[in-house]
Amino acid sequence: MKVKKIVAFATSVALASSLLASCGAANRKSYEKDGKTIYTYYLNMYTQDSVEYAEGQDTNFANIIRDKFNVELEYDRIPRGDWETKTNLSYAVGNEADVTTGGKEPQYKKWASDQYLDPIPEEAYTGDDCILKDWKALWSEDEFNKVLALAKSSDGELYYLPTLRQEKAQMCWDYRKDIFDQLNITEFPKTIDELYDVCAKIKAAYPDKIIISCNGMGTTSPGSAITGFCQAYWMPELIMTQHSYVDPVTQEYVPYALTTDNAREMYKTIKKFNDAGFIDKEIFTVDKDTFSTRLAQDNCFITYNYVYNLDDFNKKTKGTNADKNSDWAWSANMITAFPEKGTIYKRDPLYSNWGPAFSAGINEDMDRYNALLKMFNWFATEDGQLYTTYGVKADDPEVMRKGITDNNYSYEMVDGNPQFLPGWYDESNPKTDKKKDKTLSHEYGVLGSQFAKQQYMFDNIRGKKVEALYEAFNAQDNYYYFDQIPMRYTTEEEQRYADLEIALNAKRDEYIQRFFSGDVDPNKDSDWNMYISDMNKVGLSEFIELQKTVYERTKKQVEEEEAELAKAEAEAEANGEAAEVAAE
Amino acid sequence: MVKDNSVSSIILDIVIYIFLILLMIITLYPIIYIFSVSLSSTEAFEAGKVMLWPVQPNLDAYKEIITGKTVPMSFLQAVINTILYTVISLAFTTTLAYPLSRAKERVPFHGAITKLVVFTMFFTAGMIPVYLIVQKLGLLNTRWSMILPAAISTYNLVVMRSFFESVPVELEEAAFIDGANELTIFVKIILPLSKAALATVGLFYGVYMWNQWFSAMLYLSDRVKNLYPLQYIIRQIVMENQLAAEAAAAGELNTVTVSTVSLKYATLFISIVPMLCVYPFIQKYFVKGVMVGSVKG
Repeated sequence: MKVKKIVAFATSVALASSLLASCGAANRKSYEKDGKTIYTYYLNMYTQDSVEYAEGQDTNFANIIRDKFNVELEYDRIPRGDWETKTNLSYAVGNEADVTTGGKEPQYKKWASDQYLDPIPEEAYTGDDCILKDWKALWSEDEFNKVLALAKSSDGELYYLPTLRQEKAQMCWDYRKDIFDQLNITEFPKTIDELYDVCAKIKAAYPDKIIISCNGMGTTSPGSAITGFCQAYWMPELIMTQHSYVDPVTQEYVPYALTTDNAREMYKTIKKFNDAGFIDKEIFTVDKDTFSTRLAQDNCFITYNYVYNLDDFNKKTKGTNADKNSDWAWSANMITAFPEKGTIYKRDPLYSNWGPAFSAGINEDMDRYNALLKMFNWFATEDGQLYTTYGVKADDPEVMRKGITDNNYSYEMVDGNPQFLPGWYDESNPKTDKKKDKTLSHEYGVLGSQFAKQQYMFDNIRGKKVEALYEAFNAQDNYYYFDQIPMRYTTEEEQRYADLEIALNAKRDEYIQRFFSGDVDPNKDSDWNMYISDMNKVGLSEFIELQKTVYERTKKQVEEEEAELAKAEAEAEANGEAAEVAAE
Repeated sequence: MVKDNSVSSIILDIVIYIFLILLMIITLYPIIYIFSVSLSSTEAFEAGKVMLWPVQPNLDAYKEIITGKTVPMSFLQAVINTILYTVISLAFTTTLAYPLSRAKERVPFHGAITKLVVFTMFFTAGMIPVYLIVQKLGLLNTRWSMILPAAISTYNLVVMRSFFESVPVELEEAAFIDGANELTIFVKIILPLSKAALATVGLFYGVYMWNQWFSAMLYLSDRVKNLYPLQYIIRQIVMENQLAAEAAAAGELNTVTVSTVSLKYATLFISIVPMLCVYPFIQKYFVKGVMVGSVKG
């Protein structure tokens, strides 16, 4: 009996203690230290490595933020693959972080319409002396207006801070120059017909090899496998996710481009290349490891890829045989099916959308909110970029090198340029090892991505190659790119859009595979009509109508906003002049 | 059994053996291939040289796993979770299944409890309500958040109940006459006679927890990453390629660490080994009829 009582009592205590434990959540608001109010925040971010993270706040990396802005951050780091699920869940159950980073624009807009986020106050980014002036200065005035037009939600409010996209262009056709030279192919093709002829020539010399392959597996099936062909047929590279575009020549809005005549011609061409044995049969599912095997086994001579990947391609192609000839090169020629009209290349967007968003309720204490905005604004300054890219500058590098002090410093200035101290991982230096050396992500996760890489680092990693490609594209005649289109959906429209998109994507992907495999033939009218009919059955017409409505409405809204902004600026200028006259 | 030495019988035997050998090869090959790649160099794999045996064999991947903290720790966590979960689940399942397997007159609210149990087979609360319960009970960021919410599987409960129903009531009546109470009968008569069912259901539970990553993803945060089970770590490794592609497409700089192929395959192989070792010992219970001869006359 005694034992039973003890067991019953222990069980009750265990249950009670577990209930009490759930009541102990930290209330992170602010505290006083040395006469200053220190504001504390949870910051949600994703991680994509297995490093152990610094705990606590007593590091130079944390102290800089606390001393400068009275801000103390506690990181909620989530593995990247789970970030979306966990963040959605945290909003749904009400234990979200104060600040969320790493989102995509549709997510931010969805959370905003669900009232999980507070808007960025307009006064924080308008005027010359606003809190976010350095962030704003990442773009020119015109560019910034475009960024605002694109990033704002349907209520005209901005719910997150976009991040400067430093790459202007990075995707191009890469090819094995050594093979081209060997076969006396003097120039990379400019048209689809020329591409076919070049592939035929290579195939004749290497009948057992794949000519065109690609790292095609992505989050948006079928990923990047056919994006080079999309552009050849006058569609944006990201048409799989964007669906619609505004023609850069005619300025005409083209909704759901993958059911247009251009798309049909593209499917026909892909089939023709596939029938001739030029394209990788697994191109839609080739992942990074498989693509490496393609390179190593000379099963890829042409690919649409990044301009800065060539060293890696050469390394993979050579494998263990250092004597093997491999000379990957990039081409400034994009391929077009409409040479008389022009050529499309991908101009990267003005911004990326993983900047911070602020959870609902944060604007109840504007001092607290402003401290955070000031910190993010500082990240956009040269000092801030040095901090997020290189960390904390060593006061005495000699002391650091001798290993006398701790790990609280990460870089020094050498000949006017920042340089990581020994033992720190430097992504521009292949001799350092991300797995073994100390990393800044250990100190503050992916906070280093906001809002721009320090220019010296960016140039050393990829900046120079990206710039060269961009200049090469610009030097070509009749080269166009697709501008981003502002599309502001209401909550109801967004829900309907999401439902229709899922159904349409599934049907579209099914037909892309069937066109490729030869199960249905885009050359046959009956097969093409079946595709269009099946797409209509899952809501194509409604989707097109929805997109047209939102496009027209947003266009009008943006024009009105721009007119208002111009008027406000003119008034401010006039008031300034009047004040000057009065003063005189 | 009389041996049939006719030609047709011998041919049939040969066909059966060839078929079974082929089946074994088809089953074994992926495992051998994973093991071989884990021991081969990345260059050899990329050059397509690894078919069956390791090429340029080395133990680098295994050294990296052993010297690193993540995989050994997550392996240990997976083992602890699997053992705890299997024991707890079996205890809860059997103690509920046994009364439900007996006559309604002996168990108060028998019908209502059965209906409640069956109800959960068709309707679940969903992710958010379960998360809220786990949160309110203070189980977030603890091992128990992975174990307790799934402690009883209704399917396994029904299997167990059906098995208990097949245990003759006469055995219990005999024990009653000898002075045993319900608990004694359950522990000393019913459970020993149910080894086959316990082994089978225990294996179901064990495999479920060994392969479990979703609850770890939901309920554990980076602050307790030492509690991450092996399958969650493997999931992250497997997703690296996709994440790297996503990061590159988003224009992010070099942020995703991608493991070598041999490291991925070594981790996968390590995760297979425990279940490979356990199955042969459990297998015999699947076919053993423990009830034979338990009732006389």
